[in-house]
Amino acid sequence: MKSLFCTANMLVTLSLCAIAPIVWSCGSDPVHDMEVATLGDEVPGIAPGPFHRAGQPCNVCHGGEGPASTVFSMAGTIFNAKDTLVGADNVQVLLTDANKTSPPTNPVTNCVGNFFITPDQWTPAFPIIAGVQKGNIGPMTMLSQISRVQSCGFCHTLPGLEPTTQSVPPVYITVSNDPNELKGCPANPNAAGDGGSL
Amino acid sequence: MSLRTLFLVGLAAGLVALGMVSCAATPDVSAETVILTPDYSTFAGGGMNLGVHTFLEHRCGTLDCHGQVGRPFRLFSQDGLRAADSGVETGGAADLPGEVYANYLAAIGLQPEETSRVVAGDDPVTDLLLVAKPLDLQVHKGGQQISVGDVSYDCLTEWLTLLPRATSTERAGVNAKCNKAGLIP
Repeated sequence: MKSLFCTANMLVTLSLCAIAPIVWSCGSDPVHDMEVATLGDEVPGIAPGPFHRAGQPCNVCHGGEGPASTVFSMAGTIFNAKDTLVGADNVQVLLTDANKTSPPTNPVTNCVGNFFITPDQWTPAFPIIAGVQKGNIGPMTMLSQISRVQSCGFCHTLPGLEPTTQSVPPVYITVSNDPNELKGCPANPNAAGDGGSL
Repeated sequence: MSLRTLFLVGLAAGLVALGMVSCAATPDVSAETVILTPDYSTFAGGGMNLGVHTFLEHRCGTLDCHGQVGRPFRLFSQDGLRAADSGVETGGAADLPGEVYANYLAAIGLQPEETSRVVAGDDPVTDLLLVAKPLDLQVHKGGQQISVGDVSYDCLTEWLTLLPRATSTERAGVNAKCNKAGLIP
């Protein structure tokens, strides 16, 4: 009887040992976790929201795998010159998908240059052709299509203003921001300054 | 069954297995597998011709898709991934000859034997992942990129079945379609 009890105990223990790693591995995707960790912490003083993390690949967190609860179908940051990392406000982002559809209204960047669209506003069919326009500047259309990634920052990477062999500099449109409007901006629109993600 | 019997049965099975292996023919080191490959000059283009590579780079080789170091069917291009240590950057100089050749190898190296059978006319082009994936006949993260009958499809499939000994007229026909396909988007 004692021997039977020991055997049962051993079987239970072995089963738990076998199941534990499976349960643990179902809880998280280590690749995704690493991508999130690579983005670093929030900048002090800028809470998560429309003005945070300018220039970063938004959909690492906002792509449905978390940790952000809001999901974006497209999102990114537009800067105001090739050689700065100051966000450009009021830039219209022009998007057309494979079915020739576009968002009902063009997304417009806020004062740090961020824009986003949620799936209830527009769920595009890839590939997408993208462009930017502000007032009478533009439209300027990107040379290549967006094939499958929903963040500008995936290919247009920070930090750095120079292209590499596998990335391009951040998206920019040569404009100057309205200084009056920037007074009300809750974050420093300079991504390289104290408000930014660098 | 006693331990001794078990041992003898195991030993006998081992000897039989060893005998079967030793009966295999001596490998023929001079044997070759002939692989037929699609025409390189039509792929590379040149002069007035954009070549098959331009269409593949535009539609498949963006930085967010096959223009990434870790991806299968890796493609280099002027506006996408550049060859490491080549001294050129994304958005910079035009495709280097080595990059175009690497793209050719990526295309035919995806399924070398199957590519050979398609080039020989033994199998349909849709047996190739290179065609089935962008048609969305097989699971493809990038979805459908070409449709049967459009210039992109014609460029790709006619190139695959264009033998190196094709006439200049046949080549011109494929080149014309690839020139149109290479301008999209």
